Amino acid sequence: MKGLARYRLLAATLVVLLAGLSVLAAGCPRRAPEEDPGAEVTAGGIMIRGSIADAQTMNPIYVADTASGDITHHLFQNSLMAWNREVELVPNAAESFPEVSADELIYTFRLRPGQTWHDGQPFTSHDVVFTYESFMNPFYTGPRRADMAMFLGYKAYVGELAAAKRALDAKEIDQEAHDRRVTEAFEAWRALGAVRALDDLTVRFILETPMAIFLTRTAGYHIIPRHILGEVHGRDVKDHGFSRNPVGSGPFRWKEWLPDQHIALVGNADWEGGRDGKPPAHSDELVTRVIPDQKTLEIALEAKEIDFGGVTPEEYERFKAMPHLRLMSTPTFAYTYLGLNLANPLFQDVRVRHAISHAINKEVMVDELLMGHGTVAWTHGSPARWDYNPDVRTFPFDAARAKSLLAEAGWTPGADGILQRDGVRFSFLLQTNLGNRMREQAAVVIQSNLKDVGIEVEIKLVEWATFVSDVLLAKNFETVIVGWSLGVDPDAFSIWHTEGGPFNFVSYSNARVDELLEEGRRVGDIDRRREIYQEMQAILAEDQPYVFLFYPNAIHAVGNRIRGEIKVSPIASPLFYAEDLWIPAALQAGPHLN
Amino acid sequence: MRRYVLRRVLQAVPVLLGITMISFFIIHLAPGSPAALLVDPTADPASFEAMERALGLDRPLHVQYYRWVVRLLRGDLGRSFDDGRPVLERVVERIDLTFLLMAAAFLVSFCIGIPLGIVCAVRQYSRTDHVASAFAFVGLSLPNFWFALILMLLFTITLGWLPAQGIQTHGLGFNLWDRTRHLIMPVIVLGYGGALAGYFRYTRSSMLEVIRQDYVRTARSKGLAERVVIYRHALKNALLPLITLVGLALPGFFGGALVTEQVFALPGIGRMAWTAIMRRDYPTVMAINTIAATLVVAGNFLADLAYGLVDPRIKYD
Repeated sequence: MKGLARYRLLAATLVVLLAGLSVLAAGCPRRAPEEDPGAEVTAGGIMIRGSIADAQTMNPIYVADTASGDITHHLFQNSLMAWNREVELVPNAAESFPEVSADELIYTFRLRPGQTWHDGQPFTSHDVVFTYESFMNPFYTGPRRADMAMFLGYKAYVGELAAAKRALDAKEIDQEAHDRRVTEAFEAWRALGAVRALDDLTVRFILETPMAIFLTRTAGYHIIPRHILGEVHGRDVKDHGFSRNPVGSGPFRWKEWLPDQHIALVGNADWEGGRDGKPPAHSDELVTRVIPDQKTLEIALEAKEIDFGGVTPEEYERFKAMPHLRLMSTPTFAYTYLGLNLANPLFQDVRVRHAISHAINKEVMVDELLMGHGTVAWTHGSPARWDYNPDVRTFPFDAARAKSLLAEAGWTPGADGILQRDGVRFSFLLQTNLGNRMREQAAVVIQSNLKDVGIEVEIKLVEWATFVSDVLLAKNFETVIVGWSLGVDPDAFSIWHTEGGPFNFVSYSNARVDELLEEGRRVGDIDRRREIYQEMQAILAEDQPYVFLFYPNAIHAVGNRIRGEIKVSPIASPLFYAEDLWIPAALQAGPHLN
Repeated sequence: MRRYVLRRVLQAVPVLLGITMISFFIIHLAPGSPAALLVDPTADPASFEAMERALGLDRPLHVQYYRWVVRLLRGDLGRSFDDGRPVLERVVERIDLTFLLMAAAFLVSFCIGIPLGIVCAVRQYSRTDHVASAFAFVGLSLPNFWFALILMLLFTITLGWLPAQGIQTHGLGFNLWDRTRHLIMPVIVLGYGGALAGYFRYTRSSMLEVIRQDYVRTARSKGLAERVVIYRHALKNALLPLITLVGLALPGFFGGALVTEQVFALPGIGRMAWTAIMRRDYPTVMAINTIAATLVVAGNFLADLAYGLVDPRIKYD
């Protein structure tokens, strides 16, 4: 029942580090509506989206889940740079690409003049500085502090925070002294001027070392208003009223949030938007209704109670046949994999990993579990992203090949039919999260495939919160089925680097991959970066630290009464440019209005 | 009587303390830390510990429980780990819907289950009896979420009469008919799928027993009309055991609301309980547990009191 909800939650939680999907409505040529000519672009009407999960916060610096991010996207849309629907980096709140110093350490952004917050206050460089400083605030508990590691003085500052924490733990200082000490450290870091407003429309960033991905990172952070939060203590920002009653600067204004019911936004007629002079939002309201059960959400789509919603692969054909809906299946930047714990002796021989990969029938997963809405995965990344390497080593389904590889590695069938070596049976535990039906089914396919080559698999389903903290982050597993929802930038340091941290659950370590990951963060040239990540993908395919399983598509349904150019992409749902959509006057009060 | 009430209320205190203590420890024993869900997994362990400290989770369990009780006595249920708002405020803004659902479902099950039980007892083994028994058992054995989907298929998709989700049509504001339309299916699921079968079976068997008593035969032989015999003499006595059942139904409906609110996307307390459990929002889970425990204790207590009121043989002192 909760399958999709959990799936999204996973995506939501793990995507955090990998650069946000902040967005802007720009760079996309306007086109006249194709369907029913004569239908004028009309204002008015309520567009209703169904969402499995309720949002958690409306303060973008604390957003770490897709449900919240989907709303702040329409409300703020004021990151310095942004990804457009075609997944190109474009200036957003900034007027143009920044000026970068010759040593690649200083970035100077000039803001578009005339931008305002929804309460009428001007949007200035001081808001930008305040936002970036908030990430560094010692009392900030959100997910983005580590993203700021490229800033001048970051290491020293974070070192001082850790020292203060140690002193507190050793009871050398009390809480009050601790707070004073970290506040002083923060002020000292601010005084360095790593983030500074040169005038009301100019912001300057200074980095410690050249780090080209800084530019794409700036597409990930919406700016928050200093005139509202500037005087609030860092400790109180998260629970400040702003988190539930925000003031943004995007194409939709805030209306109301009824927890577990809906979040309503109102089209912002004053929005001067992108540089192409785009007109303001057309529809009067954009409402997100929270429908926690996927089946109920699908019924609501079918009954025209909502205009937008996700559909599961097994329902695709049935919904496609409904005349009042359009269905769109689109690749994403996500993939599902079987992670092998490389700290476990069972999986240290690369021949064994190759054998397991050959033994698992990934095609059948795509055909039967995804109903064809996806593709077989051979490596890290996504076929929909610019850095994808299509020419990596593949491991097609071949049980005979798997068996001979296992024999080569010294595994021979025992009396019970299970492979043995030096008295050890080839048997392991496979864990995945309870309630994600696709993963549960993939686990059963794997269990049966591996049994055919003499490997015994026991499946254990674990509830999500426990799965993350006690299985994945604790590296407490033999194998797991889980997935990544990757960001727009291909940087994968935290997943594959030896020093990558807790996201490298499988304890992968390869000196060449480490080098590539470090260089990939440093260089700005896109062709060089493509080479870097393609080489990394080839090595990962060869090493098989994961058995890569499949890249699932996202399936979106849109009600036919919604007009305007609707296109989807790996980062864009049909509502990506919601301000471009409208509802013909005759259909504004239709049966959709439930 | 007053002494009895006082004694029962006093007895309830250790019972509630016991229940909350056990649930407090069980919740905290469950694997998975709330801090892990709130902190960026890539952050250093220090920020994880800072989060634990901020949530008060670094203290020994008995200290945490003690602090929770002390705060509770001051009427403070703490703040939600999820959104930082006071738990009491979160509960209050939702509990009316859940109570409304519970009350409506109770009425439905009561008003259908009991008359049906009477009819079936009076006409034991008739066709009516068989059909009604089947009807009641189907309700009991249907899984709530599945029954809800079947209703939606019928009333939302096929007939187009009722909305599938939510409590109001967007943009309409509060409207009694609109609200009613949204609640019809949830109430059917909660009422029919919940206590109806119980009321029916108890009424039927209790009536069957009473009908065979001497005083009923006496009433009949006095030449009283059958209606008077059944409703005045038999029913009054047959309903006594039902009081217990009604008392216990309160927490039953509360549990049923959890699934029903989830499926119909209703913003009640059952839905909040579900989310709170998934997100390890301990203060919210504890608040809801405490409410559920209070309902059990109160339900039992009210049932016992009601016995004293309706059954002259029972005296409390």
